Amino acid sequence: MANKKISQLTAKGTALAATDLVEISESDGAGGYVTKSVTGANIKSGLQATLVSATNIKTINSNTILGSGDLVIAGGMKVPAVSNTVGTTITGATNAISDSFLLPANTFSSNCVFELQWMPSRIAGTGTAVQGLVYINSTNSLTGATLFATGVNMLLTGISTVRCVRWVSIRSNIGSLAVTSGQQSSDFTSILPTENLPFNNTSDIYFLFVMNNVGGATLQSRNVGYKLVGYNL
Amino acid sequence: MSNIKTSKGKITFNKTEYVLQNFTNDSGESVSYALVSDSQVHIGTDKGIILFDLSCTINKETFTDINLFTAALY
Repeated sequence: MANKKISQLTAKGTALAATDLVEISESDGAGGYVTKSVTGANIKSGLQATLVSATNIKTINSNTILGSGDLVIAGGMKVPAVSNTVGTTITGATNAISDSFLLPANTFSSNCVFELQWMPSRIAGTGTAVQGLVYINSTNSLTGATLFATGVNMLLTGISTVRCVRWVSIRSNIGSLAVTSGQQSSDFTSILPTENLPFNNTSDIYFLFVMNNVGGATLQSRNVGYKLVGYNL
Repeated sequence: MSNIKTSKGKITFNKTEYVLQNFTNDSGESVSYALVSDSQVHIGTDKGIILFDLSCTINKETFTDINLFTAALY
């Protein structure tokens, strides 16, 4: 073997066997090296064994995850927005944004269902009703926004809060839900529907939580939390 | 300032055309619009109920009265 380059040695031609010996130079820790041998078993010990689906790597719903490409998980629950933020206090006879969130494009598909919960709160003032409304828009602005839901009237003088809920079914980017102009906290009872709500999630959609204090100039209110949960279908 | 363009029962806003149509208000009445505040109005369309306000112009005309603003849409 003397005076031979590695490339001139006879090729083994098979996988490394446990008993094969390989020459190494082990550092002596002082800048020098000591020639030693290690076995094929030494080299392989501690390495990850070849992955075999369902043997040493689990499957997902009986589907292998080995190989290249994307594994689309359909039907999983998404929670793209949840918040306990106390929104901006809206004062006086106006209809203005207290809080908002952005639903990024393609969070949901063109066919999906989701449930929105939000919690408007009347905090001060006298007058008739306060409502917590929800609009959707392509920008974080009320102008040109589409009415998504109208919360129930909050009539109590002083502090009152209500949890509002809407279940929405989206088919080919068009939503069905309880009538958007109806004042109600939930859609748990039989309610006139809205069947033409545009909801094209290939673009960003802002959800705007709006307090309507038009019942009194001294009214104050705000949104104090929301949650959006949905499923792609 | 965004402009609303009107055309025979239709309006165009932000490159989207809306067909004006009635909606059911909270009293169960079929209405074409509902005033929300002194500067805002809900307009019924084929794409839902849209909020417009006096920050918009209509055919490039500026309004300061929501009633006149609404009348100009129809």
